[in-house]
Amino acid sequence: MKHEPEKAAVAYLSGTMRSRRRARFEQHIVDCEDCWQEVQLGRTGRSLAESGRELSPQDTRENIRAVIAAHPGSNKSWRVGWGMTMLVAAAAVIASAGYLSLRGPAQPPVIEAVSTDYREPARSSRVIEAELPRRLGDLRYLTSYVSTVDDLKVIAHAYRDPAGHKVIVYQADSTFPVADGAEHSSDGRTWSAATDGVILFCADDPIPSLVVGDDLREVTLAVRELGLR
Amino acid sequence: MAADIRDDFLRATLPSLDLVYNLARRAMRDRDLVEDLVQETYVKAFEAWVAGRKPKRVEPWLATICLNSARSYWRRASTRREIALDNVEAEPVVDDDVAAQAIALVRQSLVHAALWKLPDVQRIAVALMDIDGFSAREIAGITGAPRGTVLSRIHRGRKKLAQILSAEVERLEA
Repeated sequence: MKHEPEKAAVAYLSGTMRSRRRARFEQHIVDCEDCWQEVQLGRTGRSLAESGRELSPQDTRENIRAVIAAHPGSNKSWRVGWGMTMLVAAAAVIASAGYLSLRGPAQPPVIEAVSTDYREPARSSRVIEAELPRRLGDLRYLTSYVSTVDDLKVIAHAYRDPAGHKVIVYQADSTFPVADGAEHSSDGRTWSAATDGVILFCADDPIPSLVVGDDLREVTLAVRELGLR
Repeated sequence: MAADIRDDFLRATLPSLDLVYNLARRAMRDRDLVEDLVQETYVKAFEAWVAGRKPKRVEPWLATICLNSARSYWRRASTRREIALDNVEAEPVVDDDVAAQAIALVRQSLVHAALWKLPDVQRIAVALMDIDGFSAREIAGITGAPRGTVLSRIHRGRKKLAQILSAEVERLEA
């Protein structure tokens, strides 16, 4: 019989060796250095590999729950986009725009509808492939979907930070209406507002975008990371 | 959509999160990509679940989705090979028995780094059997390789792991 230490060790260690051959092999390895080495290395490697087992981090579990909760369950394949498309990296000067608190119902219907969608995304929305970065600072990407706010078709990209603050970036083909009472940046290209507990930041460059969140720091972060101006 | 289906899905699949996480750790070097891969695995699994494609056994099903997603990424990513393989990541030390914990974590880190010195097919095969606990037959189903090839890859991977690590582990535990 041909002497093949590796082949024999594989069969022996995997339990696929028949009992008579196994007994013979066990006698053989006592005085065969090559076969003994093969078996010993295989056993040591298995033990080492087993010690590499890790527990998943707790926030991984929470992220999975959040993603599944936010997922509309569409049958259309949802690819979360390994290849990220970074938007134009221009410095955003959101601080100069400032925020103005607004309350009351006197907002354009699109702005009202965006606020409503932010709080309760329509379950009928169609999930699509992500086109924005998976992370914006500590904001983690959740999902992207196509929706209609009032009569305006938008693509929404949802993020959440570890504290649970949600930020949604709405993108449209045409300019968003300006919120009532909004404050414009010095160059007039962006505006920001706060209405009914929701903070809004709007820019048309590189594409019409409305960033909505309930936390000023996270909205600012998203604007900066996306290079909106 | 009813919340029940989400609950059913999470109840059936979340117990296998460690399994998916460990496999993703051996498929992706970067921690963020590991998180992304785990998330993508669960999203794809959920979509299949909603579409009525429920598996007989959840574990091999999730492992297959995880590896297929990783392969899609590998095909697209041209920079993966530029990642240095020699870095041993520092892990936080927690809990009471600090010395034992520290040794276990250092050992775990050494093993993880050494696994990344194996060829992809050996690393994944070893991870599926020795870390995730699949049988050779199941691994053949997951990877699409013949059972004999799977066993051979596992043995060669273990041997290399032992050769790389034996001296270091002995030193650590002396």
